[in-house]
Amino acid sequence: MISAKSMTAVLAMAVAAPALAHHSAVMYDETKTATVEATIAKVEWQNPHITIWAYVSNPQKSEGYELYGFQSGSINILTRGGWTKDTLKSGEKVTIEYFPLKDGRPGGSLVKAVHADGSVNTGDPLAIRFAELKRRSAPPAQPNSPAETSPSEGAK
Amino acid sequence: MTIQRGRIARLAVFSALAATTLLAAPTWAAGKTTAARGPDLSGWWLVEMGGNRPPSGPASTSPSTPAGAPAAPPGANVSSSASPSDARVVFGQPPFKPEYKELVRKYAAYEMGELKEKPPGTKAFKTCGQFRFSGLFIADAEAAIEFLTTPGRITITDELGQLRRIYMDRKLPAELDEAYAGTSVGHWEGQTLVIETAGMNRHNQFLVLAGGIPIGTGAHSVERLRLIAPDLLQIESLVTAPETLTEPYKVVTTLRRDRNHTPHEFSYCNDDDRYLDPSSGAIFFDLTPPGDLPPPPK
Repeated sequence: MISAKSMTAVLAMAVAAPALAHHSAVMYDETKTATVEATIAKVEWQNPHITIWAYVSNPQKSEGYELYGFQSGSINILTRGGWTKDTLKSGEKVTIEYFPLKDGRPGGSLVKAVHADGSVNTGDPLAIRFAELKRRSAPPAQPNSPAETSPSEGAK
Repeated sequence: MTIQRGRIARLAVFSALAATTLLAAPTWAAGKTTAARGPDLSGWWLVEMGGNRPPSGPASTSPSTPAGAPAAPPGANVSSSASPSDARVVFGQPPFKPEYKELVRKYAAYEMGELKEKPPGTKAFKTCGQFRFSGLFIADAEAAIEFLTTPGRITITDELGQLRRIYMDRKLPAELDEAYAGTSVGHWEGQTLVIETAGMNRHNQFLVLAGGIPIGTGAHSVERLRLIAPDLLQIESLVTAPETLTEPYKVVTTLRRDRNHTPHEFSYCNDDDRYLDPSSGAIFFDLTPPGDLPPPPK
């Protein structure tokens, strides 16, 4: 069943944000966010998306850490939002909130990065806004479906 | 003497050729300059994206509302007292022909995760190479744009590398070669810049997330640009695409001027991207780490 709301949501992306929407965000679960404490390894500062690599503590891994990858927006859009290529420095400890990958691999789409001093850099504003739009357009959850966590309630 | 006569003969031939060339120039060759008649469009124009950086210009705006912008229907006039927060994109459902509408519906379901596989017949958006204009100014929702005025011409360019030459001193010729940017002419109606474009390449994709639907042969667009406030530019785009749409499609975009904007080159070419396989269009997230990562913290 293809919902009319789905079509509206997608066309909203298609019309309003061609560059953002040049590929789908279908690989992310945008119905919920997750949060990790991370140490920045590297930022690939490039178009059409930057990628943030970060180590997250995981005692089950041999090195005690697991490498995560986070997608965010394009350089020009992030720059408009206050980012520079040095916003996240290698070795910096940050809290990262993100839409997780559906397939369970470590990473997702960046919602925001919170620095140790409490300052915040939000991810691609269009991606975040359209994720919200898709959530609002999604059909109601079935009674036996897994509980969803709203982004504002992102769990660690 | 013979050499001198030869020079004169060559000069005569050259002059005749030059005169012939001028006389034979197409009817839409240079004429009266009108490009500078309209309002000042200098500076950069953009849709505010939000974020946590204070706006650099005096006309700060709230984030655009591409999805929830029902206040004004497409094409609605906005009063001259419009505020900067009116910067946004207003649109309706494109009136696709039935066969394309079904394709878009399926692709929408795929994008929303309701279908697992990309529907047959749909394509990923062409993201590399020369920018392709399909009649809608909204391609600049992410890329700040600027207008460059020179005698007889207004040139529209942007952070994406789009280049549109709007000839202000001629009319569209009856016969046009197809071009990715199409061929555009413009004129002023009072303080409104009216741009007419035809000759867009039939394979230019109409919308990005619409499954690769082409605009088709015979597409035509009319854009009406006017300032609705000193630093707010409203662009009404009306696209006619007889092979794709059942009726003209209208979109209204409002951009905010930022004279202090520092442009950043932008590309959505997936050749350098971790998020889409350009050969298959498959969507993924390549988590292969770069080779120069520092070791994990101790």
